[in-house]
Amino acid sequence: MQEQFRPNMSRAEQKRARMIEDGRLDNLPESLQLHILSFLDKKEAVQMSLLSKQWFSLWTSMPVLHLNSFDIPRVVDFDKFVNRVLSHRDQSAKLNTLTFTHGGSSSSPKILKEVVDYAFSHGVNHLELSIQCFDSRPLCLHTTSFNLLKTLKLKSQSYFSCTFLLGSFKNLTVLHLKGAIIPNNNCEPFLLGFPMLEKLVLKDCCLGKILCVEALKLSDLTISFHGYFDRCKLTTPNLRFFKYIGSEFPRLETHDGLPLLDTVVVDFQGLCELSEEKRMIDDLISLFRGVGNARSVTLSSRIAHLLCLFEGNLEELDSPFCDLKCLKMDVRYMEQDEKLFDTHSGRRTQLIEMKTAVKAYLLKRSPEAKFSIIHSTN
Amino acid sequence: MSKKTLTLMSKDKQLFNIEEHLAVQSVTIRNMVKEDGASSVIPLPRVDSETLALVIEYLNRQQAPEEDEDYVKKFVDERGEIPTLLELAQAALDLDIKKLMDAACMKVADLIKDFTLEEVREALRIENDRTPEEEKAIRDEFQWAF
Repeated sequence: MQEQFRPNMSRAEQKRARMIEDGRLDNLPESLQLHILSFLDKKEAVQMSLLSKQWFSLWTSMPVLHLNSFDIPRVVDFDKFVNRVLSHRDQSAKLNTLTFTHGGSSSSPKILKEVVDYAFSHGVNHLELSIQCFDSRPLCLHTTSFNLLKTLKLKSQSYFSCTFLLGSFKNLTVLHLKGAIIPNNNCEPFLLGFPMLEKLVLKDCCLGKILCVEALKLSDLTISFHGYFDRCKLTTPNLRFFKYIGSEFPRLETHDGLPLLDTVVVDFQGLCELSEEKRMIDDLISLFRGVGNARSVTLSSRIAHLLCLFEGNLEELDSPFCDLKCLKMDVRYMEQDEKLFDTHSGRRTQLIEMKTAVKAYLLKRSPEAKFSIIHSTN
Repeated sequence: MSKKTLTLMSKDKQLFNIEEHLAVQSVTIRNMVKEDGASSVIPLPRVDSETLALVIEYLNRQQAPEEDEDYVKKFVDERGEIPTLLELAQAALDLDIKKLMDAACMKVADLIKDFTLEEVREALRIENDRTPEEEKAIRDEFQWAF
């Protein structure tokens, strides 16, 4: 291609024109640019807004906002940063997704309120707040907007009250709570206002003695809990996935035996006193019976270890699972321990013993099931 | 009964065969099949043959649904060059294969994080449309973000 002198064009324009002639410049569609931007933290996204005028206008009207304090350790600086980002935004742009992560020990309640107010006044559908110490009052001011939410994730390092969960969340499909004090009025199920809920994660929440979950569309339930709770009542006819991690095993009461249950994952994270061993194993087996029609079960090596403490012959017991298609034993923690404490050989023999006993017991009624071990990748 | 096969044609007129039940993971192709039975060749005028080969490799994967997330991440990780990823993202956008597009864009975002602005412009084929004066003004205004 012959170089032409173009006196009326800036250098950038000339370069661009040359690139078009060479067929080298296919502009990225705006939707792709936006999509790439949406995966960046707010701070990086701000920097990208300097790329060009077009990217600046993209940035100010992005439907996705990630505000994250990791690069900005000082609370005052972070508050200022958030304020500036919000004030630079195109006020008519809709906000679909907002995540706010504050790693500091004391986030100012004022900034949280500003962010939450902004999110709800711009029609937020997916809201995620991760804070050391969470104050739910700002949320309570927006009960009328809860019906817009599709995803709500609230994560706090310390317990927080969330009576607002008694409100109406007509379109919420994903609820993720960490550190929440679950409202428990005389064992009333706490999810009555969530007709569309499909996925529920309760991590280190304060559950009370009895947890009642009634959610007809729920297909995916994860509970991770350290402490004692007695019973878990599930009215969840569509449940397909159930994961439980805890230091105690609650009794599982189900309305109709969870007919669609496919995958169950169980892990034990606690210490078992000698005097408690028998009760713990009984509780564990009773939990297994509650999910007895699962197709696929994954147990951690700690669960296998606990089962092996059973006095008497485990293999003589009837299996709690009636028709397993696959059983997996997750030994990743065990392998980490090995690396840390160099206890290689002893653990190996233990693993073989555990494997034999657990297989014989849990697969008694499912001889065709596949057995596999999940190792850490490296 | 043999499985039905579709033929896709790239920008540079190369032909690729793929089983229909795998091809319809692309919403665009699914709609085409629905509309006219897509008996003949499906032309993809914006996708070059190298990229189309990658897309077909992705569609042909034999993965259990629960391992799919890891698979698509690994798939784009192994093709970590920005130009390839952008082509792939663009093809996935045209063909409406959401998971692949998400993964490719996320990988690009990850790669450009530590770039300078000039490097990002080059990688994403962006022209700086500001004059040096405008550039300085906006840099001053956004000093707080650095």
